[in-house]
Order: sequence, then C-alpha cells, then structure tokens
Amino acid sequence: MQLEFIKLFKRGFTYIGFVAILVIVLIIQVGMFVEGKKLLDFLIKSLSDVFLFEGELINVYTVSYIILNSLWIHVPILVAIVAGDMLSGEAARGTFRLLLTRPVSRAKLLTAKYITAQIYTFLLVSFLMLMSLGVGLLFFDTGDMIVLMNTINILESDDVLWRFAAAFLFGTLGMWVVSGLTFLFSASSGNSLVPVISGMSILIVFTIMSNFSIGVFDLIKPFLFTTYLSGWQLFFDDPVSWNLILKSGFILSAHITVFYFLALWIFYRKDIQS
Amino acid sequence: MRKVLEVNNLRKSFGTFCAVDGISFSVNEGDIYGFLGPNGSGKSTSIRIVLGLMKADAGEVRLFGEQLTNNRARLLGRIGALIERPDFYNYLSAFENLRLLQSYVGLSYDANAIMNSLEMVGLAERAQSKVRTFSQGMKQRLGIAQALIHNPELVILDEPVNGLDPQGIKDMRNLLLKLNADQGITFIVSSHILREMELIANRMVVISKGKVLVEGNVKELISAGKQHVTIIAEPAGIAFELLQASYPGSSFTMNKLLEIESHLLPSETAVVNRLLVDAGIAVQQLNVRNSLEDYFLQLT
Repeated sequence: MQLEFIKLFKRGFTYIGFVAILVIVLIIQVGMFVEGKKLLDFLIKSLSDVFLFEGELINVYTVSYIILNSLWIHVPILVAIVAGDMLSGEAARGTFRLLLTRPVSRAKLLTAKYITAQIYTFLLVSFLMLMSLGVGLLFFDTGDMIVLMNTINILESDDVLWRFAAAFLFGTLGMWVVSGLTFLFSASSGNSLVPVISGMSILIVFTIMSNFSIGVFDLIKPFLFTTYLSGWQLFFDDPVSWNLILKSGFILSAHITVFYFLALWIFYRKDIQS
Repeated sequence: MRKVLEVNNLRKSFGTFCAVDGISFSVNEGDIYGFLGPNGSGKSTSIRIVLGLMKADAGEVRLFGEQLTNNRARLLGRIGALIERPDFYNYLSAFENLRLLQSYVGLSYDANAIMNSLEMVGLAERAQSKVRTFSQGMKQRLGIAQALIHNPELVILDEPVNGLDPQGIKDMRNLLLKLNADQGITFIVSSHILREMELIANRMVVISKGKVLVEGNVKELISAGKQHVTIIAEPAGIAFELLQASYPGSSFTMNKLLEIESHLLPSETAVVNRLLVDAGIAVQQLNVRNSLEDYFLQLT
C-alpha cells in the first residue's frame, strides 16, 4: 500500500482535488464575508415577522454548513477522478505489465489500490472540513448556527462542533461509495475517462430517481445509495435521528463492500491485454 | 538438462478467434531461446499466459517444474520480463521506477542493485531523470534493467531491440550473451529481427496462426532447411534456360545482374552445380546463404 501511496502522491494530478476545494471554499468564504448578511436576511425574511433574531447569524458554522451543501455536488467528481484512474490508469499506461509480472497477487494489488483510493477520499473530505471550519475562522466568528431544513433549527455554538465532525465522517462514508463505484468501473476499463463518466452518470441518474416522488421510483429509492448520501445532514437535526443515520450508514457500508468484491471478481478474471 | 519452462497444449481464444491453438514447447536451463512468428501468430498471447497476465482456456504452463496456476506469485519472483512496449511511470525518475519495482518483487531497498542495473544498460548517468524525458531506446534499456533488477533465473524479453540504434542493438546482444554465459540466466527472446536472433539464440520455436511449426536447435534447423543459392554463370541465359528445363516448376529466377537465384536443399545445390558444369557452362560463383530469415520465410 505504501507503494500505491508513493505513486499517487508523486503525481501532480492527485492534487487537483485539493486545489479545487481550496479555490471554491475561499471564493465562497470571501463571498459570504462580503455579501453573506444580505443572503441570510433574504433567506430568513419570512421568518423575521415571527421570530426575533439577535447576534451575528453569519458565523463560521453557518457558512461551513452552506459550503458543505454546495460542495457535496463537486466532491464526488473530484473523488471519482482519482478513484477512476487507480486501475484503468495502470492499464492505459501499460504499467500493469510491469506490476503483474512481479510476484504480487492480484487480490493484494487491488486491495492496496482500493484502500489507497479510500484514504485519498478521506483526506480530501478532511481537507474540505479543515478549509471550511479552520480557514473560515479567519473570516468569521463562532456563534449559534441556523440550519434551514424542513424546519428551522437553531443549534447552540457549543453543541455544533461534534455535529460537524460526525457529519464529515458520515460524508466520508458517502464519498467512499462514490469512490468504490468508480473504482469498480476502473477495474474493467482500459481508459481513465470511462470509469469517471460511468460513475458520475450513475450518480446523477440515481440522485434524480432518489429525489423524484413518482410511484415507480418510490419502490426503488430504498435500494439506491444516493438516497442515503445526504445522511450527513441528519446530524444537524434536533433531535438527531440515530436510527435513520444507522440505517443509512449500514446501507452505504454494504455498497462499499459489494463494490470492492465486484471489482475484485472482475480484476481477478481480467486478461491484461494493454 | 533441467527444463525451466514447459508449455503443453496451450489454447486461448478471443471470442471466435483462436489466438493460440494447442502449442507446446520447452526451454532448457541456460538456453537463449528464440520465440519467432509473424505478427498475429500468437507470440505475445503465449508469453502473457506464461507470465500469468492472461488465463489460458486449456493447457498447462510449468515453470521450474511447478505448475504456474498454483504457484504464480512465488514463481514470478524468479522471472524477469519485458513485454512489448517498455511503459513506466513517466512522472518518476528511472531510479524511482526501479526502486518501486524492486519493492514489488519483495526485495528491500538496495540502491547499489538499482545503480548496477542502470549501469549495465548504460543509463547510470540518467538515473535521476524523469522517464518522460527518455527516448524510446532509453526506455527500452530501462525495460531491460527492470527485468534484471532482482537477479532472475529466467528472463522473458518481447522485442527487446525495438527502438535501439545499431550500437544499442549490438550492446544489447553482448549484454544478453554475457549474462547468459557469466550468470547462467536463461533467456526467452521474441523478436522480428531475425538476424539478431540468429546471432544469439541456440534454440527456437517458430509459431504461426497459433500453432507450432517447428522447434529445435537453431543451427540444425537452418542447415537442414533450404538454402538461398545465387549462381553466377557464363553464359547466364543458357544456364537459366537449362535449369528451368531440368527443374520444371522450380523457383529459379534471374535478377537484373543476370544472377540466378533459388532456394535449394544442400543435396540439390551439388546436383545443380554438376548439371551446369557437365553442360559446359562456366560456374563463376555459387553462393550459398544459410540464414534464419530465409528459413523463417520458407516456414511461414
């Protein structure tokens, strides 16, 4: 696995995701710093007639929550670019011939690559957390957090950090599914683009199916991993729906496991022709 | 003599196309074994099966007396290989590539071994250069270095002189002969440069359309086959007509230099010479060429 890490982090390509997150988060934070109050005033305009809001509503927690909501669309693409290249990249470069003529079992090689892809995903999501919360402190103060979901939740500032940590961990689980899916396509492809496009296509189609309330889709929804990807938001609910979180976590974990074994099965049977 | 590789009745199809159709051959310890065949004959597929990159539909591969399928990882530790193009991690240096591949074999980091391998192929001065800056010939030499990095007993090289200049080809030939003589490394070399194969291989197999055409000692096979014969006779026209009349349907041709050419068995060459001399024709030169190329072309 150490060798896979060396290969991964010696490539400039690997850092694209980190740079993209850095740029996007900074843009959002600067934007929120400059125009955030107007935006929040607009969002809570209708509530202002009923509730009285006091203090600094634009704070690092609220901004981080907004960043997370917007970035969960982009992070899967960044994760897929690297995970989709893990096996197909070796095939495209022709380096499988070098690796698989060495005394390395295919199962070991694939497992090392799968774990490397998942650690990369974890690092990317952690970087997102560090950027949104850590760098956010340079622009904003802490304070109570307003969460607009189906209801409006106001979370006290000393009750927020653990929720962010848990949400990021759950978010990592969701991204591991995306990473696992593109890795699965990577096992059967000789071209790095195919797994990324295939993975993203499935993600988009499943997300649409998960969000449409049509009879047929409602039957399928419980089986789609995309239904559970936004489970990280549940940690900002009050009270937290632990049963729903556990169920979502279990289903996502099952997908991660199934994708791994499917990739292993495909890779084990694969003829190296490149 | 111990057999390093035994291939028995190997078969592999891709859909309805049969790439390898029941080939069998064996390589002895210490051989430089030529693996010959025209493009698409099944050479690369066979080599990939031997190295476990592809799975055979049927047949058996035994390396060092053991079945490949049950002992793949362990047996591959005793083999070095360069298959088709020498592809590397272009964003790493030559040294880093070899270090990485050294680790994949399970060896601990040994900078001296890496530098020795690079030295052997004349790349020591470019050890720290990124592979993306290498020419095709340099990549080819690095390919040889990676095949030798773990002191293998058997080295399989697929087109090892591709992209090399004449001096590079000569150096490669000398390197293989030296390693074979000094360290007893067995080589299986697939190449379409038949002149090179003739200079280095002691045994060979020729395959075509997925089947073995012939296997054996290179010198014996070439000498037993038809020779390319060039006859310079005076008068050339009469000599040519006589030969055509005496051997109807034969392959005698006359080139622009009025030289008569044909492919003949050694016994036939002597008879042709006597025929011309008895007819009063002055045979000024009778050149016989025994080449692997001629033999290969006759076979395939």
